[in-house]
Amino acid sequence: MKKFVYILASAAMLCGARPVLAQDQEGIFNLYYSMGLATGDLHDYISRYSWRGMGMEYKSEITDNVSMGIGAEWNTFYQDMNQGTFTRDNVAITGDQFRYMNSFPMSARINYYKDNAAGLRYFAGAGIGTTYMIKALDMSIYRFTQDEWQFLIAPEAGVSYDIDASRTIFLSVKYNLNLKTKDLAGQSYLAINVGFGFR
Amino acid sequence: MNPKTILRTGSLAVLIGLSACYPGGAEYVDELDVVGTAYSKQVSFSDHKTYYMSDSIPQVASDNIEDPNGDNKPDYISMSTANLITSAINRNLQNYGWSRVTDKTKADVFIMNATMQNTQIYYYYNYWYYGGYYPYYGWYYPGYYPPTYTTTRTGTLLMQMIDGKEVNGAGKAAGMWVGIINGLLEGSSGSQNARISSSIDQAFKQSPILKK
Repeated sequence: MKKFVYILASAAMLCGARPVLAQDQEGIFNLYYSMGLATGDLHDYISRYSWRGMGMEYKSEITDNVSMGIGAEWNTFYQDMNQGTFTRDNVAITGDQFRYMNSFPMSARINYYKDNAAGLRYFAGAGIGTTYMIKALDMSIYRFTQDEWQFLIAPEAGVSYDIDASRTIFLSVKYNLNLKTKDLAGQSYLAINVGFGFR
Repeated sequence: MNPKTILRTGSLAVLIGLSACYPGGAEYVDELDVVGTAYSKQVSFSDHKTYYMSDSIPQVASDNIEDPNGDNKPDYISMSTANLITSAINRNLQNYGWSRVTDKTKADVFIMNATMQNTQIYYYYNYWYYGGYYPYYGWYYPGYYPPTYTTTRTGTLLMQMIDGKEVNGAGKAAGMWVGIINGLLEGSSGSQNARISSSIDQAFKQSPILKK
């Protein structure tokens, strides 16, 4: 039931953002490569740095220093645990474990910008939305999967640089904090994003 | 912004992203071997020191599970494989301080082994693929293939330690410890034997409760 609430809440936020976007004079579409560093419970499951991910977002400047928008990402975490023994109480299992986590965050975002003299544009902001998490564990010929929708809060900071009037490059660090649900602990990670923006 | 630029860049990013779907995974047969053990917390293992174990090991497979020859007796695996298994179990139990007896009445526990063979059929069809959609026959997006299927044969060895001292009125005895080894029945018999032997060693290694 909760996941439907998350989806509805996210949809409401995204729909709510549209009238604001429609009033804007200038919008920017960002496309970026996304890497991931797991923290907390996700780090306990997969500690390996993720080099697999991508994202896209559309932001519209509602004032000179503030933009609002929507975006979605995909980060894949993977780790081969090699042969290990996993013990719980009076049961022990030995084998190779292959662990996967696919994360699909979707959020509405607001950012504040500050320009400097060198042409760099610093920004900080936050997103709120939902993440679809798919957790999988392969052992022997068996696969155990779990999928959950989690509520997402995603603060972000970064810097962008205008190559010309219609293109920018940017680097940002975003903390995707996904709140726990009944069947899955909170999953969080740092997303390091590098990409292009098109006006 | 030029819509074509977005489309081209977006398509490239999506293709790169799709290739990230299933990174890594098992590459070798032995990476799929798994050893599971469990013990009863209601039994005192220190009171048990001798074991009885049959030299032959029953085999359960899909083609003999209903006793097709009607002799009311199980089928057995080959004696060479049975010897490999029982000698590995003997070695580990004796390293842990147990003594094997040939008289059932003097056994504290009974080691009962069984093997099972299973064949799984996997049918794979990727719904992203539509035969007539793409312009060039035999060309697919990276990672997408026409429908296919594979079969795998897996083997399981079940080792059970049954309490010979605790037999209830119905003639049933309690299980004290169980070890299950599962893996693909692939590769040469030499490599299979090595995997069986090392997996049995692992089953005892992860069961220090059996140590005297």
